[in-house]
Formats: sequence, C-alpha cells, structure tokens
Amino acid sequence: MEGRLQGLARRVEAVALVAAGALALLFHLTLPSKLPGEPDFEAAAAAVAQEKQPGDVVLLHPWWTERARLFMPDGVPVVGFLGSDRAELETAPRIWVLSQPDLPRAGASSFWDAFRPGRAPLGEERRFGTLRLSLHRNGRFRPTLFSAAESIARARAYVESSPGVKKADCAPDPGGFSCPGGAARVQVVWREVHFEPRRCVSMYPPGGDDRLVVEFPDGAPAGDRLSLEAGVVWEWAAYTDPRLRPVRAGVEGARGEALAQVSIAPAQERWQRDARPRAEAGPLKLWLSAVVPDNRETCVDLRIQGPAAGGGS
Amino acid sequence: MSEELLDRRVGWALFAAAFLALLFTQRDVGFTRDESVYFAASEAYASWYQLLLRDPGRALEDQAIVAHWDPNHEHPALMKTLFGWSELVFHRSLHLASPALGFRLPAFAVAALIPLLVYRLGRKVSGRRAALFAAVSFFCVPRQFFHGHLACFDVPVAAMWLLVVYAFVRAQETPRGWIWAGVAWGLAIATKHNALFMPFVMAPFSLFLAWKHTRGRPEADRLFQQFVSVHAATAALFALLWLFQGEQQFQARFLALSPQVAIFLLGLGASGWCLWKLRAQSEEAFRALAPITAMAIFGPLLFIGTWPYLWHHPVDRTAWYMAFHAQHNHYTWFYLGTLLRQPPFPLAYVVVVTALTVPLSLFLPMVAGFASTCARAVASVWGRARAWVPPASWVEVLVLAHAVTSIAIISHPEVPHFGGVKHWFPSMPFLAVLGGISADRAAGELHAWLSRRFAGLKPQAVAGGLFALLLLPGVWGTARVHPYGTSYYSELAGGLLGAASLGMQRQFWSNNVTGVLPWINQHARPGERLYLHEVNGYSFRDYQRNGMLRADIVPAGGPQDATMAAYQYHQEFREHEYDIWEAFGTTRPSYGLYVDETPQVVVYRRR
Repeated sequence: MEGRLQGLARRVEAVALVAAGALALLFHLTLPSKLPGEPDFEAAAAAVAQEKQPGDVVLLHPWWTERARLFMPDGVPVVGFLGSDRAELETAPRIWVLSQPDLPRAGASSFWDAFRPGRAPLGEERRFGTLRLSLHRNGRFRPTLFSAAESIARARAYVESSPGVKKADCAPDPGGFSCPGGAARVQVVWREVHFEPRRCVSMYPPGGDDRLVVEFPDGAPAGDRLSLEAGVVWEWAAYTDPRLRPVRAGVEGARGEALAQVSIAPAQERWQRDARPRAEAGPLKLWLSAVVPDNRETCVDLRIQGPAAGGGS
Repeated sequence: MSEELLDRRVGWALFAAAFLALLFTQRDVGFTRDESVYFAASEAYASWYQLLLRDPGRALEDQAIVAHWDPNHEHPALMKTLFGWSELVFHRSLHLASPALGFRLPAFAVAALIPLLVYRLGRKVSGRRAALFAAVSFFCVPRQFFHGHLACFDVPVAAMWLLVVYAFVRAQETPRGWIWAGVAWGLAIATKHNALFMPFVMAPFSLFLAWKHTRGRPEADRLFQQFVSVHAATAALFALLWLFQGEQQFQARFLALSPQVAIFLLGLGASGWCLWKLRAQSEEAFRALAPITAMAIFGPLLFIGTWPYLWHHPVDRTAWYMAFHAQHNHYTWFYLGTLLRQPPFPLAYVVVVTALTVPLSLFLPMVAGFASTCARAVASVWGRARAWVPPASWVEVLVLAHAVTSIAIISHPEVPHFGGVKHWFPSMPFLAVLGGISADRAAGELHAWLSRRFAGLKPQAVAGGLFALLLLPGVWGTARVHPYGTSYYSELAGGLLGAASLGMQRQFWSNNVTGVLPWINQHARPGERLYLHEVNGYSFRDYQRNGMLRADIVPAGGPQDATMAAYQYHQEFREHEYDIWEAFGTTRPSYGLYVDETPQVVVYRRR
C-alpha cells in the first residue's frame, strides 16, 4: 500500500514538473505575440487624432499600460491609474478605451463590468495589432459650468479665525496665494489622491480653529449640481499619527449658509465627496481647516455641474 | 578519476561558468541606490589601507579610522574592503576594468561560489545529477542572477551562509574541518548581519550529533554534558549581568578588563577544555561540537579584525550596528494592490513573493523537494512514518532547516519587508538543493515510464531533457528581462505584465534607469540639467564616470531645477511624476523604458 502511494506521489511529481516546464515555455513562446508594437500605437493614435472632439479622454485597460501616452495626440488626456477602471470621468462626454485584453491577468471582464454602466458604445471596436480601440458615449458626463481650479485667478484668499471673522489676507502669487505666517497657502497644481492625478486647488490649512478661505466673489452660475471633492494628498493621507484630527472642507453661499461639507479622517486615503443639487447662481466660499496642519495638504475640487448626460447600457 | 576528484572539478567548472556569466553580462546592469553608496565606502576603505602602508601610526589612530571608515558603518566591512582593493588594483593600477567592474569583481567571485557549494552540498544528500541541477538552477532564477552582479551584500551573505553550512558538514568528516567552520562563520558575519542568526540553527544539529555519538559512552557523555553546562552557565552569567547592570551599563562596562570579558574568556576556555578531553573519548562528538566553539573564537576575531571602525570602540560601535538593524525603518512596498507602509506585514508575503518571482519550473521542484524532505524528516523522528517514507539523513534535515530559516525570519510581520526577494536569498541555495532532489527523482520516474516504450533509452538522456525543460524558462526569462532583474516576475504571476495587474512592485532602487540613459545622451543639450528621480548623487556620478551618462550633463535636485527628468515608476512615488507634469507644463512623456509594456522609467522634457 505504502509502496503504491509512494509510486503515485512520484508519478504526480514527474507529471507536475513536466507540465510546469511545458507551460512555462509556452508562456514565454506566446508572450511576444500578445504585445503591441509601435506601429499599432501610432495607428490607434492616428484614429483618435482624426476623430477627436473637445473633452474626449483615452482610458487605458489595463490601467498601467501607459506607453500609449507617448503616442496619443495632444489635447486628449490619457487616463490610467490604479482604480481608473471605476473612474466616473464626469468631465468627458466621450471616452476612447484603449485596451490590451490579451495581456496576462488583464481582467477584461471585470474592467468592462466596471466601465459599462452608464456608457454606450459609439461604433465598432477597432483593432490595431493587439490593441483594441473603442469609443463610448459617457452617460456619467456632466458639463462643468464652474470649476474652482479654473477660476482661481478671479478668487481672493484669506484666513478666518472663525466662520465669517477674517484674520488675515493672503497675497496672490503665481498659481495661487500665500498667507501670512507661511503655513497656509493655495495653489492650483497637479496632485495625487489615492493614486489619481488631478489638477485641483491645493490648500494647506493654517492649523488650530483657523480656516483657510478661497472666495469667488464674481460667483458661479446656476447649475444642476454642486460637487465638492477633497482628499489629503500623497502618502500623507495614510498617516496615522495620533495627534492628527480630521481635515474639514466646505462650501458656503453668499449668506454663509453651508452648501456642502466633507470631513477627511486621518488614514482616510480616498476622495471624500459631497454632491448636492443646486440651482442658484451667486458667490461661493471654499474653506478648509485642520486643527493639526502638519502634512495635511488637501486637494480640493469644487465644481458646479450641468445635468448628467445619462443613457448608456 | 576518483569520485571526489570529479566532484571537485565539476564544482570548480560551475564556479568558473558562473563567474564568466556574471562578468560578460555586467556592463548594462545599473547601479542600485545602495551599491553606489558601497562603491563610495569601498573607495574610502581602500584609501585607508593605502594610508596604513604609508603611515601606519596615523592610520591606526581613531581619528583617521573614523575619517575613512565612517561611510556606511551600518554594514560590516569585509565585502566593501574587497570591492575597494579590487577597484584599486584592476581599475586604478592595472587599468584593466572600469571603476564599476573593478568594484564588482569580488562580488562575482563570491557569488560564483554558490553553484560550487550548492553542488558540493547537494552531493552530500543526493546523486551527481540532482546536485548538478541544483547548482545550475540557482542562477537560472533571474532575480538571483541580477543580484549576483551587484557589489552589495545580499548574494555574498547567501554564499557565506552556504559556506558555513557546508563547512559544518565537512567538519564532521575531517579532523580540522571545525576550524574552517568557525572561519566561515566569521566571514559570514563580517559580510552581513543575517548570519548572526546562524548559530541558533547550527547549534541544535551540533548538539544532536554530539548526543548521538556520546550515547552509551559514559565518559564522553559526561564531557558532553559539561560542555553544554559551560555554555548554559556562560549564557546565564551574561543574562545576570545584563539584568543587574541594565542595558546601558552592561554596554558601557564591557571593557578589556571587565566581568563581561572574563565570563566570555572563561566560557571559551572551559568549552575548549571540555572539547580537548572529549576528543580523546570520541572524535565524532568532538567534530560535532567543535565548530560551535570555533565560531565563538573566529566569529568575533574576523568580524572585528576586518572592520577597523570597531577597533577603538568595539562594544559601543557593535552595539550601535546591532541597534541600527534591530530598529531599521520601513520603506513602502507595493504588494497585491496595496501599499505596505507599516507593520504588521502579511505573514504570507515572503512565500507569495517567492512563488511569483522564481520561475514556475524551478519553484515547483523546490516545493516538491521541500515537501518530500519534510515528510522524510518526520519519518526520522517518528517511527510509524517510516512505513510510508524512508527517514531523512541529518544533512537533509540541516538543508531543510536552512531553507526555512531566512524565509521564516523575514516572514515575521514586524520585520521590514522592502528589498524584493534579496533579504531571504540565504534560503535559496538550500531550496535549490531540495529542487534538485525533486527534479532528479522526477527524471528517474520519467525514465522508468519512457523506457517501457523506448527500450535502451538512457537515464541521462531523460534527465538531460527534463532538466533542460525545467531550466530553459528561467534562462529565457533572464535573457528577456536583463539587465532589469528586479522587474522579473514568473509565469505564475503572468510575467511582469501579470504582476503589474496584480499590483506588485515593478522595480526597486533605480538601476533600471540605464534603459533611458542612451536616449538622454543622444537628446540632452550640452550642460542640460537632468533630474534622475530615485537615483542618488553617488549613482549619478558613477554613471558619468563609467561612461554611461554624458559628463557635461548636470544633476538637478528636483523637477523645478531641471529641464529634463526621468521618473522611476513606483506606485508609492506617483506624486513625483505629477510634480514633473506641474513643473514641466506637460503630461506627455518624451521617452520611456517599458519592459514588456510596463512603464519603468519615464522621461520628460520641459516645454
């Protein structure tokens, strides 16, 4: 009995090793045929360049296949970051999906499961070597009627000791504002929140009970929705220092009424969002505070949006 | 030709082949962040030896020692001393090598010992075929092949660890082998701190063998017990001193004339006396125990002797060194879609990463060899299991124990987990030995099956075919990924592409930048300010002085200060790329290194 078991174990071992060697070789032999060449990228880029419309973006699948960025035409942002499969891409009316589904562990079905809701294909998928290019109408699109980042030149910034009580004005500087004391400042820059790059209003809180305020006195137009998103940038978001307290960001209207507010707890790495229906036009006050300001730089994205495009599959 | 002579020749042939393979593939291997630091330290150490020849009195003053040996004093000096001497001889004196090759030659030589020693150790537990497969397989693991090129300590300490174990096995067979076991451990701890764990794994085998050899021999048994008592008493006295004096006083009072030194010397003397008496009673028991005493003698001698930085303050500076590694900081690491920043780290991390970075056709034999040897180890202590599998020899169990040790240490959730696979390299030669046993057994089984259909089929032919099938994917993977060895992932991961989708660290410590240097050399304007993200100043200088980067290009501290930038794609460093976008006013790269489509290094130019 034991002899038979040993014999069986040896046979299983031999078969497993032969199979492992054969599969490994097969993997290496077939891998080159799954990879795109430069002409494939160039052909895909030419197709995008020929048919691009304002607001279009290229979404990468898998998210890390960034070589495409070398080829895609100027003016068409290329989106690919850890988690971009699920990105809303609300500012893009149309999305070009540049996919490499044959790559090992590409996870095509889970990508499309995440991508498809609210999106509808526009035309047939095109193939360029191993690349697949497909255009989609983005039902999750909402036109941006006002963006704080794009309106920063018309804003003013100051520090408040409590809501409505101005403590000090911040001086304009290239790209934003610097506040007295040097700690608090405002910039419009590319920042990362949980791997996603976004050009946003970066705000450094003054600390204590003080609030850093960016006011848009010219006001914002009426819209369908007010969207406030905020996240502590980079790995600072993951810090678990026990001294840290939540970062709070909010938007107030002309009379100081709260229109939206988010709170970001220490070690909370993702974007926090408060999106509310809004009809009125008028001035807006964007504010940020954190009792302990160390490493609490926060990327804030405030928009007034039009109605959702809707539709899709 | 005798069996022993043939084995010696095969072993040295393996050494030569490994050395030449490393030598002929080294030119494109970039400088990891730590390697350039070691280059600089090695130069400083070599210059101290030059001072020692010119002005020994001044060289031996602590001020001169610190001036030369302070760089990188968080690691022992043996390998860096060899790197420095080698560069001095082969580059600066003989002009036979570039500076980098000059530093790296000793690393190649020490790394090339691994196939030799794997083969020799393999022969202690298996046939020639199995040992040969094991030896060749070590450098068919692409990451091991890559690290074999570096003037660093991870492959050298794996070689030294293996040397200690082999010397211990040999010490059981030869009258003076115990001395070499002690010397080997001294060299090992003078290479890297990993080897400090070795006595805890060696001592049980030493005691077991001595117990076996003294059983039923009352006088020998009495001396064996005295030997054990001496060590227990020495340990107890040290523990008492520690308790009474406290950590700081214990360290501060560890002087030449102190209870600490007295206890150590008394323990050593008593241990030596027991061994001397025991040898008259049982040569085998002596050979089992003597390596441990030899380690206690030669370990500190070689550790301190090769490291002048310790000479004036051996206790304080050794204590600092130990504390540095006991409290090492954590570097962020990407693992299965999560950035690991702080402990506790996943318990399965080491096993998972090993499975994903050792070619499948080599990993599977390792697993099978490990499992079957485990079963045989159980059979050697549990009689009923012998009905199922034959018992393992003590050498097989020794191999098993050392295959597990480094993996177990790094698997501890509080131990830093950065550095890819290199921190548990000392386990890999032993896993290779176990893999060889499995591959050879499979070859035998395959031959038995095939010879029923093809009469006259030779076992060697079947083994050769199977071994080629198992080794070829590793060779292929190495060729495909070279010189970006830290980026290799196995077929199980789906290669580097699959690993990118799995969310694994794609590279580390900046050496992949060599992939974009030719483009930069071709396109940079004269005197252009270049920011090489993650490449430290030493490495920048090394690329220039080794002719890999144009000498007129000026290093920049960040994108704000640069007109050209090369970003190293790390998940934990994504914001650095966005800083470049911001500073350069573009999100579009000019060039990049994409290994199997995965972005590794992305180059931008200011608009």
